[in-house]
Amino acid sequence: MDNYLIDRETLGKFVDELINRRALPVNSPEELNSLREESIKSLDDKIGLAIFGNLTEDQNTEFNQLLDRTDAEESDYQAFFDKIGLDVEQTITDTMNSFGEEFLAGGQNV
Amino acid sequence: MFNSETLGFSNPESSPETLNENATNQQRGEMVNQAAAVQGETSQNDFASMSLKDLMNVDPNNLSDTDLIAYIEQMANEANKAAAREQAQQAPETPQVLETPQAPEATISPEEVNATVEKTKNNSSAKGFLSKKAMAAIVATSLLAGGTIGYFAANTQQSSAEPTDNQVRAEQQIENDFESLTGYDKLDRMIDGSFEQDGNLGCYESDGKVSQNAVGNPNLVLEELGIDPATATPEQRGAVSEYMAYSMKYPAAFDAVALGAPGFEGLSINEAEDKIESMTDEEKENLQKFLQKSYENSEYHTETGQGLYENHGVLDEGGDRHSIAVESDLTGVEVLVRETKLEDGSIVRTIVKEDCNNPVFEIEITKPDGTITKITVIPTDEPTPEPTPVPPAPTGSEGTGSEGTGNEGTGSEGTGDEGTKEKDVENTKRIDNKIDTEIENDVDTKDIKHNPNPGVTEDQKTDKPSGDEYKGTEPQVVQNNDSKPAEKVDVKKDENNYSENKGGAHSNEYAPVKENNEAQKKADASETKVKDAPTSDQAVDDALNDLGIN
Repeated sequence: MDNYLIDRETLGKFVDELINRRALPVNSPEELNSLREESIKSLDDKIGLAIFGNLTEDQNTEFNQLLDRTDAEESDYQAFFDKIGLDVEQTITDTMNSFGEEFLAGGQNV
Repeated sequence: MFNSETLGFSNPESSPETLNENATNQQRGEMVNQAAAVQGETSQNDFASMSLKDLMNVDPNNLSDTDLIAYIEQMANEANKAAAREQAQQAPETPQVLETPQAPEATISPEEVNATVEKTKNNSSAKGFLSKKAMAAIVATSLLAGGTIGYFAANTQQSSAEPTDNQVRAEQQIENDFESLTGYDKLDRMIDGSFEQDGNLGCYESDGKVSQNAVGNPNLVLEELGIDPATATPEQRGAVSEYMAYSMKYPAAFDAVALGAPGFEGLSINEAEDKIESMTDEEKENLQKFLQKSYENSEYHTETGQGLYENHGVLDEGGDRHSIAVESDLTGVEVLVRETKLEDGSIVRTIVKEDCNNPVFEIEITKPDGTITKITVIPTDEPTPEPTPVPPAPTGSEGTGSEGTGNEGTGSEGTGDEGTKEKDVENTKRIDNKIDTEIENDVDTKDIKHNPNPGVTEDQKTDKPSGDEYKGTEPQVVQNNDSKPAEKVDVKKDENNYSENKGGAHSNEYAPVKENNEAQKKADASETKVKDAPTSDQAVDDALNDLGIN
């Protein structure tokens, strides 16, 4: 299990497309790769914060209980987010759009 | 339970003065003592996300009156939540409903967010759920249109951040064709991990398995080639992407012909492509059903082909596809081998590149009776003959070509014991003349002659042998064994030169095939030597029947 919330390959695709669209202040392949990895990690963190940062205490408790269940399936997670009224896909989309806009604008903190 | 009232503040909107009046000295003193350890200023907005522990470390003496109100309220909220947690632990069956309608429920602290995130990272089920949502989200982002066809921009040296109209059209065209034929929509492919965001309808390998309709992830392909995707040139990335886009756009045409879909019997690949373009929705649906049935048990794997690849295309404003030459230093490229299990046989579709000028597309079909049919296509605009039945290989039928064809370009190796044929140009000419004679007899005029090479005029024909290495035409025609002496024929001295783009229905669709002597030799070597050309009317008729001409 890698240290990412979202599949790294998936985020990599998104970040690669951003990289392709912007002239980057890098001087070597190593720098580029480093920037790519940092961007992937940063995006992953932002998505995590966007999804879980708005949970209330008891929602968080319930989610953790779900995580503790060995038989929990993806549908259970969907049901959880449906129950609390959080559109995960939209949340991630918004985060990605925001990240992308900031990245393409040359933001340093993406 | 704690709330602002229990802490001595009956009205959250109270002024600082009111607060000071209502708070007992003891209460205030306690709070001051609790928070006295930490110095520094904290703004009002920071309190909302602070945990009780963090709040305890704030020095209220440094707060303005306004901040002090926020501070105290947050303290109350956190105290309530702590009490609720304690209660929940004591009686887990009790619904965890907070009893503080006066204060909106606060979100968890950053520490708790981090803890949950980390825990989720180690939960494959939750992680899978979120990753699928992320895949769907990628498509929903504004980057979709440009992203899916980014390679067009790369190939054409366009650097605009926004996709051009024709780029969007290209993406839509590929997407629509694919979906209409397979019914396998984008979302399904994303869920399967088979949507290649970098530009195509490709897939990427997962757990060593390539998803349905996969053509390989461009990054994986680049890595396979020893090229770091992060430093790949636009040309390199474009070469791979374009290849994948092409192979995804036309498999239906290949398969429709190879599998003998209704209405596609005897069509060339190009004709099949045209037919698909002009099909009604109902016809496409029928084809989709037919192909889907064949795909159900398909297996896929990729192999690294040998040789260079060069077949880049862009769409112009009119939607026509043009080939452009891009120097590529790829020395091998991932190829897709798709093996579609039929009821008792299989079809192996291999797309390989002989060299930078001659991408070769090949389908090999093993029929239930063991007959191997092979279709090899060089995507130029010359007519593409129909499948060439080849006698069954004694070593068995299944999978005889998948490994070999994937790596050997033309697929002549590894396809079994097909024997060696020698190309008989004269035989083809005899057939051409025979057809013309029959046309003359049928319509009573010499003005109409059949043209096996649409788009090539008489004065464009040359004495040079064909530059293409298409090997699907010679076939059974040359297998006849007729004892009668050969009839006299007028031998044409000209033969079409396919190595030049002469226009025609698909003249813009592929890169012109340049003359390639090595490839021709290789193609010739793979053909069965013709000892006895058909010499009688019956023999020629048989041959024409075999070709589906009569």
